[in-house]
Amino acid sequence: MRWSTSTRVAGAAAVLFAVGATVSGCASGSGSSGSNTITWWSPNWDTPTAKQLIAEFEKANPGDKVNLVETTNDTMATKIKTALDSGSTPDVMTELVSRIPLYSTKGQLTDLTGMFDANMPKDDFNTSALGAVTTDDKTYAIPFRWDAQGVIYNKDMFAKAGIAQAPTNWSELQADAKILKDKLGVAAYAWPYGSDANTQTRWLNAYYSNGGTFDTKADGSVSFDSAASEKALQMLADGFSDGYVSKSSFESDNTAVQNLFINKQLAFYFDGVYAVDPITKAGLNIGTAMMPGPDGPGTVGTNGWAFAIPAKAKNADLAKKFVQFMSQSDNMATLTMTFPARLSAAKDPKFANPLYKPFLDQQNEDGRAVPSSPGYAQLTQTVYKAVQQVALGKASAADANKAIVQQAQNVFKAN
Amino acid sequence: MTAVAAPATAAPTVRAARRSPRRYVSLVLAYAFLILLALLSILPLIVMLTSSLKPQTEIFAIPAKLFASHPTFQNYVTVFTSSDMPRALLNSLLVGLLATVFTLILGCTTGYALSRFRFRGSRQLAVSLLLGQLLPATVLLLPIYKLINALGMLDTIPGLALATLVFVLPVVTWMLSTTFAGVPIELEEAAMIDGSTRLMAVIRVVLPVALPGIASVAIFAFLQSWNEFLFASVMTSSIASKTAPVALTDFANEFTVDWGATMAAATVISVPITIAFLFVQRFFVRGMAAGAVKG
Amino acid sequence: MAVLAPPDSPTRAASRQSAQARAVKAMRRNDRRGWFLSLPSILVLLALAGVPTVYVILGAFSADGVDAFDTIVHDPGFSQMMVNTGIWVVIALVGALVVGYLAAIALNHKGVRLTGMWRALLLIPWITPHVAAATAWKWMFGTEYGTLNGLLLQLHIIHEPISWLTNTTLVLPALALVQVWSTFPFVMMMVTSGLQSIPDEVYEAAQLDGARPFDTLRFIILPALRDVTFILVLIVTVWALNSFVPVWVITRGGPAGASTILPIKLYQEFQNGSASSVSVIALFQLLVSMTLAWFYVQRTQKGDR
Repeated sequence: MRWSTSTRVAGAAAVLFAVGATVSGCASGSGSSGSNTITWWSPNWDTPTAKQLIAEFEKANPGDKVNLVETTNDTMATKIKTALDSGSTPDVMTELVSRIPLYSTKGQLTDLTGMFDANMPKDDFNTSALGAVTTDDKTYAIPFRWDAQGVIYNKDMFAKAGIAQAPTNWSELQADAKILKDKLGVAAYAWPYGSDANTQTRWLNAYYSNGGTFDTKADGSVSFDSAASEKALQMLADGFSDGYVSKSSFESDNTAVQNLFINKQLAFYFDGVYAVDPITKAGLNIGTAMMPGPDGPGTVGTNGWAFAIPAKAKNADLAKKFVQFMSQSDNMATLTMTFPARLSAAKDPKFANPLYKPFLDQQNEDGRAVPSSPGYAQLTQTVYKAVQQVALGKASAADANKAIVQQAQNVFKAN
Repeated sequence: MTAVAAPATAAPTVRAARRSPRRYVSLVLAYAFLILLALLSILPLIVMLTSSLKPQTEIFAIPAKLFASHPTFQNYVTVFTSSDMPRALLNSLLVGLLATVFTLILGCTTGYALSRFRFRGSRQLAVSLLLGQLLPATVLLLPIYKLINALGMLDTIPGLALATLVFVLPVVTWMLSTTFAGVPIELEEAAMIDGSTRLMAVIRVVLPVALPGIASVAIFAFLQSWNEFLFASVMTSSIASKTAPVALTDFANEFTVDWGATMAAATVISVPITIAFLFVQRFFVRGMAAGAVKG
Repeated sequence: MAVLAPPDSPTRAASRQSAQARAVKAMRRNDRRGWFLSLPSILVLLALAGVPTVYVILGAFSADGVDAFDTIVHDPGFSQMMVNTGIWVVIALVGALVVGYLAAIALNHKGVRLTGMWRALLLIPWITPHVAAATAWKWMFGTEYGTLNGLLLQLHIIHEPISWLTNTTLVLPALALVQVWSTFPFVMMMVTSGLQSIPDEVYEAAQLDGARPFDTLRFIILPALRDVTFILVLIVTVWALNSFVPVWVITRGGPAGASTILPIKLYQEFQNGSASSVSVIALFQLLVSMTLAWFYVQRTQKGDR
């Protein structure tokens, strides 16, 4: 009896092994690699439009095939990094612009400067977008989507509090917030201090708005404006002690803040243009405005998405042809939900909603690219901690700023 | 204190001992602890379950309620009809079974060797085999990715099973060597005297006695592989080998996450395994597997 | 092994010599068999783990590695992170071990019925996908709308909501609780399997001897589980040092760095592509775990079988 149990177990194991090997053998393989096929890694939120455009491309170029592989928000960075490091890469990939320099500085991407021509002129691209993917006058990716943040406010709540229009600078915003809290009894706005990435984005907006910059010098070090950073911390902590900024901020990421806004627990908040449609659909009567800075519109950190061709791509020529196709104005407009990186593409009627305008103005007039030095990502935890400390009242802006300055010295030092 | 009760009179004494108040108190304590722990264990699953039955509008409703006002199965429909989850579950199952088989074969052979043959360097070997278990996955990722790529096994089920070995084989080998060491060598010697080869003796006599230990490490290997995310996310790109934890992230868009569907999928991943475990768990409970083998 | 033999005679000497020769031959054969059977595992682990270890060591001691070490150590949040990591590991280790052991012992109690059902329920934390479970805990820990506060308020255990995640003293233990929650089933299972090797008669003899339950624990159960305990301490510690999901999903290391631990740092450096930082941190973790392993080897070397 014992003997047969063991044999049965062993036999079952052998069968499973065989089955597993057969099934995987039949099903394995991620697309054929003929000489006229390329593989494109694209995020899953773009898939419907991506498929549509692929169909058009294949129709216009018989014999050429594009194999779409979906990436997801949570896994794409790791996947792309590992693929590039290992040398086993796709032909085209969609990647976040601020991550492009991480790969281009290692020589892992193909130089695409040659792709600009009369049909695709350089000056049709948003300047900060192009600047973010270009090093030493060589462009390593073609940006196709560019985003900026602005203010989204609840018109009904503003009307009820007697505020006629959106604030145009920071002190007006504070004054309005106080009025909203007093008249309506809810917090006026909130910050996404539950997420480190979201917090750093807000800090960056305030840093830029206060005149701060990140300039890469010849020796590889990057400048850092300590005074602007301290003022940024101050701005981000305003209102907590007076109660007109919600304490839920510390447990919320941007989605949670958006949710509070949709549930009328806030009168306004800061987000990108992609939020306009879902919120309108949720039934709110909203207005939009540019981000207020110390004296007028603030400067906002901008980021977006681009097509890159790995240096080790197997079919670089077809890849380039495809990227050229996707970078045409009308195709770019089809692919993006938020603004396309080409100025001519943004004229497409689908972007005509007047609520979108402040965001477009923001990224064209008062936007500066998110810094692309790898050191910037290493600042995240330090900035996150500092902002929370000041907002929680545990440290003054000056003290908390010291940590950011010190870490900036660590990570931005010369090569 | 001496206890010299002769076997014949031991039975009544033992029964009396069983009914002692001390025993009763300890039983109550045991049950109280188990109930409390079980509640704490399933509480998050309950939150996941109730969220999975909520429509999109209710998931983050304020004020928050545990149970849905208008429960719906829509999320489960999404998971089963418009996601990769069904196929991903199958992939996870195959990877888990394959990884378990690999691990048991390698672990049993080495574990047996370490326990039975006092060979020189065996202790050093045992400790250095643990090495793989001690490294973080992020460090193992690129070298293993390159290896699997070189074998041409990227985006395949056996490839992923092979990669996950590094997380389970060391501790499995260690546990199995301890298990085998606990099986008296007289059993094999008795079987071999009866004329069988060592291998036959092991299969017929040692494995059944060691079954509880083997079953535990098998479950461990399976569950580690089942939950493994990092390697799977990088080494799979199509539904040919995409596993459940990776498919779980498919419900996250760029700015929003379909939490209803994610929680439904997570429930779908957890509940069948729990039920399956109900059937499997008797294999590592003493007394049910090997019969009365006295050592 | 003493051999009782009359004083030496030629035949005895001869037979002793051939016995020695046979012993040596048997030892060599044992060596061969031992290494031969271990060969597959050795090859597999060499490829999967040995090679990366070499990379880690090379990377950590390279020029970039020394730079990375410098940056990490001079980060203003460094000492807070190390203290937090210590607290995290201690709570995770002690918590998982205590809860796991108690659960296994409780289930081993003769009077408990439906042990299969209990085991299945208690295994759920291990089965649940980590990110989904961490998200559920995040919702549970919410100050105003969390399930835990709601429950505790209803049961009148507390009168005001507790800020689990925004109170800088509470947040780390709360997150460590999540880690204990997901790790104890493994401990429970391993201990259960270890308990199988203690025959019933030993318990009964102890009972007849009048042993209190605590004595049984101390003198019978724990010694028998010594090997299992070692491996559990090692594994649970390594898991705690590598576990970034609970903190990452729930607080991202906040508020104000109160829950920033080494695994978070490691994951971030990994995401930033700083291979040398990753090597440095991995080397540190390796040294910690190997120290634990070394202690065990030393202890058992003395009382070797």
